[in-house]
Amino acid sequence: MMDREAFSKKVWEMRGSMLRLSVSLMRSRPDAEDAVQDAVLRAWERLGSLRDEAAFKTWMLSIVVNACKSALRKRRRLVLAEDIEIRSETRNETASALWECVMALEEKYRVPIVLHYYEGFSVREIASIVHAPVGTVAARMRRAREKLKCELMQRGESA
Amino acid sequence: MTNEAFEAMMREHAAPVDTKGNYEQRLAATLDALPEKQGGVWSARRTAVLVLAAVMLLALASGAVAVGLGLFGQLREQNESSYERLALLDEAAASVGETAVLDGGTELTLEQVYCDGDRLYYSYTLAGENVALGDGAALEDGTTLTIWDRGEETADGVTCGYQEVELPETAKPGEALCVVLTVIAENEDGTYRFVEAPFTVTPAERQTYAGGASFAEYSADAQLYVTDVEIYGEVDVTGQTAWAELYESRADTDEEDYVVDYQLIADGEVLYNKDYTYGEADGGYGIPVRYDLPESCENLALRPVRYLSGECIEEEIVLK
Repeated sequence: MMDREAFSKKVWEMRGSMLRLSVSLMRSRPDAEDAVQDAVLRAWERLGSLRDEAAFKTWMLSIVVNACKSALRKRRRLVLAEDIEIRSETRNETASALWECVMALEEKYRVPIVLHYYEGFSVREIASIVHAPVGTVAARMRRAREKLKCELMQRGESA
Repeated sequence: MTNEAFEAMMREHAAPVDTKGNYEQRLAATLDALPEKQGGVWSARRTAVLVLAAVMLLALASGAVAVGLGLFGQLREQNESSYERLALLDEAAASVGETAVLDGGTELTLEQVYCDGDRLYYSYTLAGENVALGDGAALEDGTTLTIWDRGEETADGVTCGYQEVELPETAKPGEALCVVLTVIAENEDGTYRFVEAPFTVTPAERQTYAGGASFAEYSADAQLYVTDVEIYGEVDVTGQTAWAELYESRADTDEEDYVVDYQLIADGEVLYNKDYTYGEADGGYGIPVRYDLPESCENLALRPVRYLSGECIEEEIVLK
């Protein structure tokens, strides 16, 4: 079984991925950071359930998803789009506008888009992270792309 | 906007997230503070055996009436994906309340149990110093039962938790089965001892639904089981070797629009497959399915989801 040092190293290497995924679910940077902390502790407690160390990243991110959803259920509060603090961290106007569009998607479309385009996961890997069947994720990806394209074109026309 | 332009834009502008500052400091502190308890714990020698006599006829479990919330119900807030199932489990599970007093004063109480022949669910409380419930349960012959879900809360030295484990195919409804829980306790010299707590369960009966359909490209046969807490089973897809190879390899494809999933349609209500595992592929392939219980099981059908084109209403399988 993985020891504490190896676990910490792997977690540290994927700190950016965990934070982005958490932000995409929580829609608030402070809440997202809290959820990541919670997920790390949960993962350490449940390390025995990790059967394949090669799958650590997808396993860890699936725990981040669960931690975020637990936090959202407990807090049950609405977060306005204006609270999305990650906007200020994007590189330029186009990237910022794109992130705003992504964050405006429904959660079921937003998370696969973030995992695929921002983190580089395949549809199958995303399915294991969000605990959804591959076909469902593939269908959501298609719809999310269409919605994003539509939103981006509308913004382009209005600009 | 063309697909190519969209993909190029996403690739170019998917900006990295900034992790500097407070986030990194907190994460580093959390990692530094992780308790040293995982490595080597499980290799210690079993030194004691305790028999927890809890013989239950779980065929009667569905008739159990919950007074207030049991542990399953209390712990449902922990897990979004298990919320509905834990609520149903709280009503369906048999209340046990058998307590085993282990050496050192540790008390393990089996609070609730439900078993449908495929999965075994149990909730428990564990009171004592430096003790924990082991990593899942096992059969008498040592066969480890894979954990599918778990949850725990600890307060004032008492741990409340639940586990969901997968039973082997040899488990049959109505046939008693001995399951062994293991408590891990830390000795004063830092070594560990394992205390076994066996109990007997009898899987509840379940309702079976089946159906099949043949199309130009493929055939599909389904068998589903309806329990008090969920619907599960498998759909076997045959007729396209290339589909089975893709399914087995789990590779992405832009060419084969193969069936990868099934939604359950129950009197018009759409339920999504919560089983993300993969079945066996050998010429054909089996798609494991698992759904929350619908409002009604009167009119059930399975709707295929293809990898490229998505849901396919005209290829639904009617279940009877």
